[in-house]
Amino acid sequence: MSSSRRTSDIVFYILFALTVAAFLIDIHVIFLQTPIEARMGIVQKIFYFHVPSAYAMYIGASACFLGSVAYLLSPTDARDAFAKAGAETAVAFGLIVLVTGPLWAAKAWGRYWTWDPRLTTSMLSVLIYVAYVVLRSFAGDGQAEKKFAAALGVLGAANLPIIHYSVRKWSGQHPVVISSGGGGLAPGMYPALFISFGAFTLLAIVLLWTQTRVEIARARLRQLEDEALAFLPEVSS
Amino acid sequence: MKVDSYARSFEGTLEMAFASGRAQAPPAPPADPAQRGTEFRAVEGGAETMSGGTLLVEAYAALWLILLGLLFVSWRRQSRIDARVAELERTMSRGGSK
Repeated sequence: MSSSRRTSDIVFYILFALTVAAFLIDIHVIFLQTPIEARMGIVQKIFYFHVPSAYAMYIGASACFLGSVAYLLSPTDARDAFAKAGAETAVAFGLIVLVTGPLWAAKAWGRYWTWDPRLTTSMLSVLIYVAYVVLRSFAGDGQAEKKFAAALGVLGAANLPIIHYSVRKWSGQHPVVISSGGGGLAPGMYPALFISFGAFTLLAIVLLWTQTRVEIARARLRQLEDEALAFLPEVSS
Repeated sequence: MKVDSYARSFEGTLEMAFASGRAQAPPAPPADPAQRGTEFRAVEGGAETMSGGTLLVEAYAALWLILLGLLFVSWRRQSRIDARVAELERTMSRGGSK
């Protein structure tokens, strides 16, 4: 094993341990130390993993965008793998957002879903990354498919600022608590939120790293298979 | 001081999470049968239809199920890579023996 690979593994293990520790502390703080919200009650605690999940979705989508731009500029397997890992991470956290949000809304609004601008743009964004993942899973691994997916990864990122600013531009029912114009949280609620942001950021990085590594391994294996076929045509036939 | 607030928060969390399913001591029956309950009334506003604790547990379960789903997909992908590596090794060894 090369020295850089060993260093990379050590960094990954440290990151993984930090993620586990962050989630243990996070769960402890959310459920045992953070006060219960006065009007909504205990269901408000969904907020501490709904909002950080949305933030982690942005991290995945940004990774997909960066990987896709880099791939379009100069195609390499590593860049393609990073973009694909970003899309998968965005889908996972996007699904968490789309499940936890309606469960909170069922209590707070009395209905699971409403076609609010932020909800609608968030769902649209998740669908774009689902389309990316489906495309990569079923359309093959050719250069044309990869370039098409990269273009989708770049265009999909255009929706991210729209999600962010939709609350300000088009109003709607979605709460505005911690962004500008919001009333803020009670002082006792901030530690849980900040620790959640940290834990979900670490988790997003761990998932991105793991998925990228698997994709790079798959690309290298495919290259080896092609080389083996070229050297040993009679064996493979 | 800190321990007190900690204990209050913990008790409050448990109180609200399990209020709906907790077994409570039955109230003493009224002496006069005419005073017994004769109607059911909703919480003021009428929108209170489900337990916040249940929704919180469902949201939390969904979070980990989705992440475990991603882990499972990743595991399957690695298994396929392993199978292809084994196939490649067999092909190479057959080629080497010729």
